[in-house]
Amino acid sequence: MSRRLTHIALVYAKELKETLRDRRTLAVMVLFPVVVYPLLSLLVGQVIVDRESRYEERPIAVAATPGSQVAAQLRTDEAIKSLKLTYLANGTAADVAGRHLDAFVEQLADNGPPPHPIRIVFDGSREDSLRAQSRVSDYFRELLVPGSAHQFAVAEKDIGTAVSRGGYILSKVVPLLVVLMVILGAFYPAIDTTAGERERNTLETTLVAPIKRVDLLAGKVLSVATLALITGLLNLGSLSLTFVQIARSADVGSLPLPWARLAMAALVLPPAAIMFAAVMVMAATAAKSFKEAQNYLTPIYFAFFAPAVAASLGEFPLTLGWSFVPGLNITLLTRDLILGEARFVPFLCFLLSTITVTALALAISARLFDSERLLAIATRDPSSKKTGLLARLAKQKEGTDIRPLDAGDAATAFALAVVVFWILAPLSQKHLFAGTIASQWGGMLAFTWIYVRLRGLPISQTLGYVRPQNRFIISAILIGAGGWMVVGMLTQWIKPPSQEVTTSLRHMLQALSAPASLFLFALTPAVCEEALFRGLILRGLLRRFPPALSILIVSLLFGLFHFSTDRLLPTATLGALLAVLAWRSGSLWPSMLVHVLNNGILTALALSGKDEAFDKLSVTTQSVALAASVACVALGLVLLRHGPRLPSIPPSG
Amino acid sequence: MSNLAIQCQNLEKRFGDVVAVASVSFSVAKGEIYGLLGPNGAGKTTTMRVLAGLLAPTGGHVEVSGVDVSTNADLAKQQLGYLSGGAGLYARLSPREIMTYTGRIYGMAIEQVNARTMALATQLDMTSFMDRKAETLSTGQKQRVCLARAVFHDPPTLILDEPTSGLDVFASIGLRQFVLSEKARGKGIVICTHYLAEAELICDRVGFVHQGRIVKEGTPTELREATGASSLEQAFLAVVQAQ
Repeated sequence: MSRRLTHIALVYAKELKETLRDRRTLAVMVLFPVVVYPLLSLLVGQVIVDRESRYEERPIAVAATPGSQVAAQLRTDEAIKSLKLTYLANGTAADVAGRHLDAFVEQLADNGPPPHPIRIVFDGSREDSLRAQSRVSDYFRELLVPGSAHQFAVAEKDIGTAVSRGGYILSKVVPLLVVLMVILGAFYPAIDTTAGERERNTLETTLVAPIKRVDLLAGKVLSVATLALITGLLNLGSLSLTFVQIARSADVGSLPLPWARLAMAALVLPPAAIMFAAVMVMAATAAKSFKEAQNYLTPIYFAFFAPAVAASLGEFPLTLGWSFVPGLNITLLTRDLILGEARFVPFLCFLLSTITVTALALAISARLFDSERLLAIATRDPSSKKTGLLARLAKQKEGTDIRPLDAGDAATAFALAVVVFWILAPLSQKHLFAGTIASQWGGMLAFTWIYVRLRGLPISQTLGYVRPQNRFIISAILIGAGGWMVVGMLTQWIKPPSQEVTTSLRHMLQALSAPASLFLFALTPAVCEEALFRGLILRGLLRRFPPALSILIVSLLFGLFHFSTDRLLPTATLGALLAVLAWRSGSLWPSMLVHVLNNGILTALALSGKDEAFDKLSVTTQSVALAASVACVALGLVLLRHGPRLPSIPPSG
Repeated sequence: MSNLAIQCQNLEKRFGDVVAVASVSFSVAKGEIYGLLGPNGAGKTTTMRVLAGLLAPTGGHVEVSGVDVSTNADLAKQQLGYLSGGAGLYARLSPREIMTYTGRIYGMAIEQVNARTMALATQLDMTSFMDRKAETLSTGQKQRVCLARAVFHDPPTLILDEPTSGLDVFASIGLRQFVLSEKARGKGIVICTHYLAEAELICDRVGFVHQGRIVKEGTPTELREATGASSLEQAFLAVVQAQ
């Protein structure tokens, strides 16, 4: 028995060792669940909550029988405020069907004692109309006359057709499921035709034939797209028929479906299937094995899945902006097509976005297909193979394995920093000053320095604490002087901070002295965030990726780290400016200077109560100020055009 | 018209800092079998892959049947049949389907494809399993299908990388006979192997590859005599130890 237990233990230890030495497995096992998925979920959650709150605030368009008591009641200030309604005096019941009104309230009899009978006419196949019906109905049901009798007796009339209702119910379920099925339909074929073929050793034989690699790629993408499309269409048909069957068996009666609209919705599937196929083939082509491809495709699946889920929850109009977001736009467009509410311009934007993503994925795949990497030939010196963390640490101790930072370090550091920051960040809510010191100086700066030291590297050279050329300081001053306004305008354009946020920020500042505020909100982030993002992460990425891609990645990570969808783009823009500066100057000091100027100016404005002064300026003055800021940033960037580019880091490759 | 099936001059292939092939030069005439022999990691497979147009050389010049591999890759590939070591088959296709696919990729008409399929099935004794899924075939059967696929378009030059690896004695003998029959048809053939005894049996000339270079070249007899060895294996050891 003990011999058998020993065998089990040996096999167990060997399997664990082998698996944990695979960095990609570790990434999927740790990085994604601990960092990427919660981060994405958080962002998706924010989007949903934001959309829902905006939706709740949206007014409803209501009319009532002219000259009736109910009309008079609806026109009172109290009703308009509590119902958030827009009263349309000339509206009729027919306008509900024509989508000009959300609800029409008919007063059936004026005479006699209360309750007076009224009837709410609404369209049960429209979300806005249902919301209006719910609000108006609740309002009148709770309206009492002196003596606690109900003032109105409420009845309801749904004018939605059976077909529309069927379409409405389908639109709640089908789009998300169909999108998910199309993605799933592409998932395994994409792996099978690329990494799977490589693993089965059949790829080389095909590449030996006189066939253009791009043609080979096109054939593969089309086959994957076809399978994904078939999966999507089968699911669309199957779900619709299942729905009909459920309606019958649930004794709901005959619930006809808008088959013509469903057929129209199916038109979304071919471009979507081609896009999913192209993206997944691209990722799987970069993988050397089936397992590795699964690791690569899982986050891609999630990246499409998350926005699709967000789109399916709650009332989410397909705006121009959203129609460019892959995954989300497919769900929303499918829904709108089923409801018969699709508009041409968002449809065009969806096509444009889908074609762009597809073309980008195909271009990357074509490069991969044309490269020798496709044959998965080992190009590394076998002696440089890594063997687990402990072995490497031992080698570092001996001074025999001191590798510079790489992309793996960047990913690991980001993941750990997010976890550390999440643990420490609540402290700053309890005690602003001490908590921020702990999360920023401890969770970010000390963490970064310790990481670098544990890797056996010198802090100052590795992170870029080196003296820059004077012109980079001038460049930083120019970018810092103008950048805050450019980023601020971008924030205003996307979504201005709510009054609640502004007030809360003011209270925080008032609780501190001016020097303490500047130290906490200007100097601290400049020192700590620069060390992590433009120091460790950017420099690690630059060893693996081209500069433009490295800057893009680190900027997005910087944006994501601020845990706010509204601030994602402005923060990422600031991050990009800082990253370009750090890359070009080869030093961390200029980006720290820009960061401190950016945050310092904003903090000083808030402290002096002038943070809203810009809004009060005339449009001309605002335009001049903005133009001057853009010019400052542009001039600062021009100064960066020549000179060293991170001289302490060898070129990527 | 060149009489050479393969001409390889000062071929060099680097992967970053790693030099896989330092400087390899050799030529193979039509109707000749040339053996590239050497241990694992010597640079044989990389050389083969460059010849097959799978890898771009970082130096030197390579021609297949008089066609420059670097500048006219598609035409060069048309002249070449390549059997790579450990090549796989499309597991869920039958040998017949695999051959049809191969023939069509090489631009053959469907009638030609059918005729060639029949001929190769007979020649390589594959008729009994032509319609079975490849994943159900034995190692020897799979290797015959791989060989049939490599020569399907009847190219004038063949590159065979470890063709008998993993085969039993009977299968190896059958494969060698096929190679010799192709030679008799005037094809220039390069065989890459580390089975030196096998090379001695079928190769007209042999090049010993060591650390990315051809360190000695000649007929098996010449190489044995030059080193005073009794076998090609001992000759190889003598040459390598002298380096």
